[in-house]
Amino acid sequence: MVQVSAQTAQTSPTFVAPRTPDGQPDMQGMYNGGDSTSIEPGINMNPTGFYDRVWSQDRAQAPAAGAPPAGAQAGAVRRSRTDSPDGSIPWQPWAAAKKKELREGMIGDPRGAKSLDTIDPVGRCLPAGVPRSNYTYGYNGYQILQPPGYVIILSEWNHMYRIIPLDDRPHVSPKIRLWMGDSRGRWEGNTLVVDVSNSNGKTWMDMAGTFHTEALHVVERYSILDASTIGYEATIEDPNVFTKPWKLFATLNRAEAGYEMYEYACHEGNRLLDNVLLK
Amino acid sequence: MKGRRRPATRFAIVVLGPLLFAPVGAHGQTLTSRTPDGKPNLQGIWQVLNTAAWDIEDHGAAAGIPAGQGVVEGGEIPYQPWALAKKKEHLAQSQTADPLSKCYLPGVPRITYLPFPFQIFQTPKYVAITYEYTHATRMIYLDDSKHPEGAIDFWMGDSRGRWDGDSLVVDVANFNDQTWFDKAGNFHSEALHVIERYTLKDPNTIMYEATIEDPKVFSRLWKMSMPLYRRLERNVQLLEYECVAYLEEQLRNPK
Repeated sequence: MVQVSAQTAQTSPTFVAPRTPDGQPDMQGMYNGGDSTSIEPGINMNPTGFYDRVWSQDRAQAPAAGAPPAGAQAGAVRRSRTDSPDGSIPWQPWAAAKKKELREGMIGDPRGAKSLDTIDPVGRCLPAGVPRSNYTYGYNGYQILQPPGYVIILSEWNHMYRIIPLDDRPHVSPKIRLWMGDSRGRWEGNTLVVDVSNSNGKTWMDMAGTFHTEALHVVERYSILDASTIGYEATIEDPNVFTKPWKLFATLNRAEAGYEMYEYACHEGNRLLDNVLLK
Repeated sequence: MKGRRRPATRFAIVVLGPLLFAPVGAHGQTLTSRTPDGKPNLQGIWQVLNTAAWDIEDHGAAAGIPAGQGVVEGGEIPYQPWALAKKKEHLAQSQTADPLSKCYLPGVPRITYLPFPFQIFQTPKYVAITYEYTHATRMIYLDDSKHPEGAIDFWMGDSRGRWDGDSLVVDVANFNDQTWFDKAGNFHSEALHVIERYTLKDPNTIMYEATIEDPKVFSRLWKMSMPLYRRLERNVQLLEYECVAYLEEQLRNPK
């Protein structure tokens, strides 16, 4: 359903989003969507192949991991979550090795983990960071508010929030490093463009150890495709880790009417710290 | 040039007029701005300047704790006798027993008077509050909706609001019994019911009141009140205090 409407919007760029009182294209509301098991395919994360199956089922059942690529014909679907046809990420050799190590650290029972550093920060109830906060878990919602001068994105998972000011204030000092980065936005037509910097380098982009450093710079594009769909595209840059900038795609679908976000008290219910550090 | 500028000026007066010529609030004080739907504009970054986070009652100083006059109206919290005894137990073990020492969500109203800023955002249907401390959030529904039914509880409660004249009144229910009001061990049960009032006193001050009801713990309703001050620094914005990350460090490197 959503896939069809997204393509309609892609091929008939006549959809006009309503406007907020301060003139922003209005995308306020509740959304669902996302999966951060693994951005790259072929990640056999445990001996049963569970994550690979999730990945391929995900593609088979919901092939629209992102909006169709620009210039694609109607009916085209994006089977890769990145701008590479095979869904890969342009790792530098050392970084590919490190990712492998992190991913292997995630295999099996976390109680056997050698170190907390090989356990997904999201599993430790730390903030998901950007871009992952846009696709953390499919079973949690997002709420977008647009008070004058801002776009606010609240995530149900772990009660994260992003405050995106739309004025031209500069980023905070490079001495300030943030889990969720420092966001500055502007509207280009129906697309919200957000420049995100000041990362603390401690988040992963998925459960499979897709890491980065403090040099991470993300430019996000939230495109209002139609009344129920936001296409998400993030250009990921980190010269310490990748050989070139790459793009990541996701989709936010409007949630069913009446959806309310409930409190996700992640850390309060998490026994991981006790199990790994105090075992 | 002049001909071009004039319509813009006229536009600015028409659009901004209601903001420039401030209406007079219920108690005669001047409100400087309203949202497009005519409500007092509470938006901005706010923070308390008091010692309620340590103890909401009158207290002397101790190591690392500034002395302070209480924020409880009438001075003392009307505990039932068993509950006063329990509060004293909490106080004796506060260093480790305070839920904040485990980085748990602070609950309402405690989140309001932690020494961290928070930001209020308003739309006609919602007031959202984002807190710097452990990235806590509250969504306050203004749509006449009800609290969730049944035995569903939240650390931060469930918030439903309405405008009573120029005051934002928030009814907060569906609490668990795990949070404290302060580091001195003042506490409540899962029967806690809080009614908050946010009233803009002047452009840079909100008067905040929280009426506390919990028939299992207190002998009557009681109220705390305090001003919230607007953070006026030119470049102020919320940053992060990621408590869980520091807890991890503490556990990895025990003293």
